Amino acid sequence: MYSWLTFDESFKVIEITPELLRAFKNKSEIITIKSPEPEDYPVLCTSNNSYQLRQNNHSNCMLVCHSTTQGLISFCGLNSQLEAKLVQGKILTKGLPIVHENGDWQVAGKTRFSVGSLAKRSPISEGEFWHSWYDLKGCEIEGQAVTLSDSLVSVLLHNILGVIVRDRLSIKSLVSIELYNAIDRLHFVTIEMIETVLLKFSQNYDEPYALDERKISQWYGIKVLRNITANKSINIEEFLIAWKSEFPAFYEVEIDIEQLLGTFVRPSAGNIKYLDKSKLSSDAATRFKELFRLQSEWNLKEMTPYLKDVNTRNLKLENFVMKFAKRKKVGEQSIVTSR
Amino acid sequence: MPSVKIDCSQLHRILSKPEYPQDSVVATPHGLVVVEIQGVLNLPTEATSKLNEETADSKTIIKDNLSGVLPEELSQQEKGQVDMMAIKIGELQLSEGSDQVTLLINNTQRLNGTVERLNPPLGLLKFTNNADEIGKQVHLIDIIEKKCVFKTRPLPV
Repeated sequence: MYSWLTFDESFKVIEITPELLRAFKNKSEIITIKSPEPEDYPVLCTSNNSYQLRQNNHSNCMLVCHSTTQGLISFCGLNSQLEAKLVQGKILTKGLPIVHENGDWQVAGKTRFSVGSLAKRSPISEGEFWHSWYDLKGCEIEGQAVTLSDSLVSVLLHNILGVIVRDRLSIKSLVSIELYNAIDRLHFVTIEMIETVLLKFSQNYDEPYALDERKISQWYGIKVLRNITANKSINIEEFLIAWKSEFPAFYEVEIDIEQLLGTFVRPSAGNIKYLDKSKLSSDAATRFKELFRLQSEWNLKEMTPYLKDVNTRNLKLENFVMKFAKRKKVGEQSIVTSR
Repeated sequence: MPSVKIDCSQLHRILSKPEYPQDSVVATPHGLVVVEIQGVLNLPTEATSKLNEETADSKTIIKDNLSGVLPEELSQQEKGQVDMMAIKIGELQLSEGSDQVTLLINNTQRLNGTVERLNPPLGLLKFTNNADEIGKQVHLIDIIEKKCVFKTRPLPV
């Protein structure tokens, strides 16, 4: 057995999960490694999945040898391997123009890029990109990738629902061009914007679109919650009346406070208040402190949406909660309190 | 943001071969063998004249160019290595019918080890050394499912 005097450092080894192995063996699969911001880990993207690549170092020396007539010859000595961890890919939305309710939008820098080039730049697989893109209210105007503001989406959705009620359209079979022609729209509204709103609230990604009524009622609920309870708490009954009255006339949809889990706290019995999850700490211990400061006792079911992103090691939820808080059973419910 | 495509064509070629060996003792279908030792392998950094003198007799030093390992379509610049010097470090002995392996070093030391199945398997990637950003690629060379592991201290022969 021989060894090169100087190892070739252009080799690396990667741990291959069964899903990755299937992707590597599939001839039609395009697999890329994307390096987002310098401080982020590179991401390996298959057609439908994104894997974060982390380099795990070890103290052993792994010699990779090839067989020759003279014997085995090791050409690289590795003391690290790449771990591919399945993650949710993300779209680089930083710097993307936002289209406001009055149609205004501006490109921050000199360079413009289309949705296609945004998909290539972002550390996310192509399959995931389109789902996330419409969820982020993404659209393309004049070859530029943009996102629609919440207020613009609300206006467009309200108009679309108004047309559905007025023309007695089936909510499960909608065509964007028909709606574009039918709605009373502002001059700047394009068919792409209508399509973005339909796709954001749709159950499927091909025409005709079938709208998901739960997504719609949730959107209205969060909007009302944010508008009227951002600074003060409100009685739940009053909130439900305000929520119901927000929909277009004669549009019937079921509402339930459980649809809004992860967007409110209960500062006192019978009252709720809006809570913006993005403003909470990303550190688990601090997150628990913040949540208990806002509400001393939590139903585990209502607390869960606030914990998913800080449970980075994917521990079983009950075990994760026990690390930072106390948990007790009251009837069927799990109640979480501070230590 | 830079991105590189992983070229898996070499793996597809290996898998499509009719003589694809399903259950080799330790080598991959492409003929690669992984040997893992504890610590660091100390090798001379260059072929000294003393070592060169021994070359003719005992073939302590040979030349190697990774022939057959890298995809043929790679340019010489991308392959990056031309006739590298390799030094003899020992002899790897496999025991027939068992997973025991022995590495004899210079006929003075003996390392006892085992053949282990890797879970998950490892993919060997070659990052092409191409200065040109366009067409820059990573090549999946092979998938390694077993390795020879030496966990114990060397013993005298």
